[in-house]
Amino acid sequence: MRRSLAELSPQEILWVALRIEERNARIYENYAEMFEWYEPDVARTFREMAREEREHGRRLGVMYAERYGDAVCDLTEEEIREIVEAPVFEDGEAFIYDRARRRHAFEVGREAERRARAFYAEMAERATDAAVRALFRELAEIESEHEALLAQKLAEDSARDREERGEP
Amino acid sequence: MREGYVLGLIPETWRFELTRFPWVRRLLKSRWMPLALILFNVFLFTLILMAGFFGGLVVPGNYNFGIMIVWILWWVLLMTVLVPVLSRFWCTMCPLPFLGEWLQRLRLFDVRYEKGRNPSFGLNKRWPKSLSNMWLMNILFLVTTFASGFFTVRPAATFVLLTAIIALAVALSLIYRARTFCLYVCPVSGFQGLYSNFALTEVRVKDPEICARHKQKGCVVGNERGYGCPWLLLPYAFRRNTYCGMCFECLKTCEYDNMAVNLRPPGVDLLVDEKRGLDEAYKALIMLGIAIVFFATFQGPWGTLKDWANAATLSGYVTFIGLHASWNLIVLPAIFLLFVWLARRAAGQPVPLKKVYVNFSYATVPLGLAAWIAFSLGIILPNGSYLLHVLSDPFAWGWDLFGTAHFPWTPIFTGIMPYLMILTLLVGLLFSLDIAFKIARQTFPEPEAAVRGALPVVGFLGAMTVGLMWLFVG
Repeated sequence: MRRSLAELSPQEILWVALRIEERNARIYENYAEMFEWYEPDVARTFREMAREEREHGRRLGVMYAERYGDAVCDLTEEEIREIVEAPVFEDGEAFIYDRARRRHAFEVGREAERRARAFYAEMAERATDAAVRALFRELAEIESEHEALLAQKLAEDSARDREERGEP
Repeated sequence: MREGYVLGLIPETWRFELTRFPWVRRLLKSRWMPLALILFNVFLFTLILMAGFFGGLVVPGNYNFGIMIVWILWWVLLMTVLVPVLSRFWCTMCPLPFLGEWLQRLRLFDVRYEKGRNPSFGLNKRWPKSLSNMWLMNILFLVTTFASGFFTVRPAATFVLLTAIIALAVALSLIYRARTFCLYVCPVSGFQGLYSNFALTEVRVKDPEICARHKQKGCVVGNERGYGCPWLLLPYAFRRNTYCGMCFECLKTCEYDNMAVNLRPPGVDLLVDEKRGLDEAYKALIMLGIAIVFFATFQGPWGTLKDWANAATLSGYVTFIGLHASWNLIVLPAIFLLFVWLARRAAGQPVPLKKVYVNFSYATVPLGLAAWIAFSLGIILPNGSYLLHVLSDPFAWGWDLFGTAHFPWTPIFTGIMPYLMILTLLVGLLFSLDIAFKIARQTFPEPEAAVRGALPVVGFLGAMTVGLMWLFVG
């Protein structure tokens, strides 16, 4: 039976958060594969985002190790009811119209991070256990940083596009 | 009418999953499907080409297997059953891109999967962005109809058309990736795509959450069970039938059996407010326009018009092409623009005229489809009995395979045909009106403005219906 993230212990929450970053890295790699033959620039962007997700996962791994050592949780993401931070490239006809660009990849990532931040923040509000609440807040803050980073990349990309087009 | 209901009766979200039946899912997941259907049609089209060649060069005339099967049986089935009910099911079994796809895959039955991909033979180039739309298909279909007067009386014309399409499909499949020919070039594909948005059947994802968690989307990149979507869709995300060729590869590749074939209410995809474009708007209007021209030319009382279309004289033929092209590319779109301009004015909302034009064009789809169904009735009911003749003597060599070679011409239901046509048209109009009001609400956010804005479009649809009814019985 699936459980809500709110029902988990802090250790389990951190474990799942770590798994989510790893899962997202795999999803971005798959998107990169999808776009490889279509738009190498978008594929490169997705690979870059996969690397970042792995880095996020590594940092959460360090945090987990500091708090819980080598203890492993017997819990997979599939056992969680909510879908947290799943990046979805939603334009089902993007290849047909030849419309996908780098910024679309960044937007997919930013949207996933935004949803994750909002979700963790909501969980923090609802949590009754102080330790769980603190962890959710910490995770929301981390996701907020990721979101800001992608927003910055999106802005840089737009500026680069404008520059390439010779616009002010 | 109730919001969210088709004709105020059926919820737009209603679905009945056909693949819930294990035998249906097994059938669609088998690699024999659609290959078996394609192979049957390859055989049939070989006969059609032979009939077009031998019958065309040796014994000209319309008592020909190719003409009868393609322009009477296939066309009528396509317009009356396949597209409105089964969406792009013709594309499922179409033999025209068969050779090209075989060459790309270098496999007929099983799946090539190497190094995490389905390798594809050929240059695998990307189709130019400027042509990644329906414009080319619009023009090619219109140009094909310039020769409509020949197709039904000269078997060689059908032979040349089909041979050219097959050759083009093979050539493009060696240069460009996947089903580029079907997506951007095939003259039949464009209107099937647009009209399939009205269809009662769809292939869709069942539970998007499963796809959101799924790390390896075989439906896009392929796997050892099947090919990544040859129609370049992202099967886990697409929301309308326009470009889904119903090849069922996504049912084969999905590890979670999360793709489904559903029955659904008619016309729901016409309400999907994304990816609408001027190319599709023109497709809708061109199809309606050609239906009107065909009625007037081939089923109307004007013999002169038919002579022009049949190229009895060169000047007459040039006149036909000129009138036909101007009506479809300029006059009808301009008339529609006038009504749309009135709609925008009546609504009094600051919505760009292009957006209003494009959005409302989708409301013409049910009426256009009904016009084509009515036109098809005008073909099959008087001429269907010819089919028995040509089945027995496909090459006009004097055979009598089934004992029906001398079956007399027997028109059926021609007495009530105009009424059947009118009934069909009125049903189409009803759906068009329903869609028009819903699109008005999407286009003009204020409810009262939406009603005011819909009225001129209702006027356009009504005028087209009256015009077509006059052609049926006038």
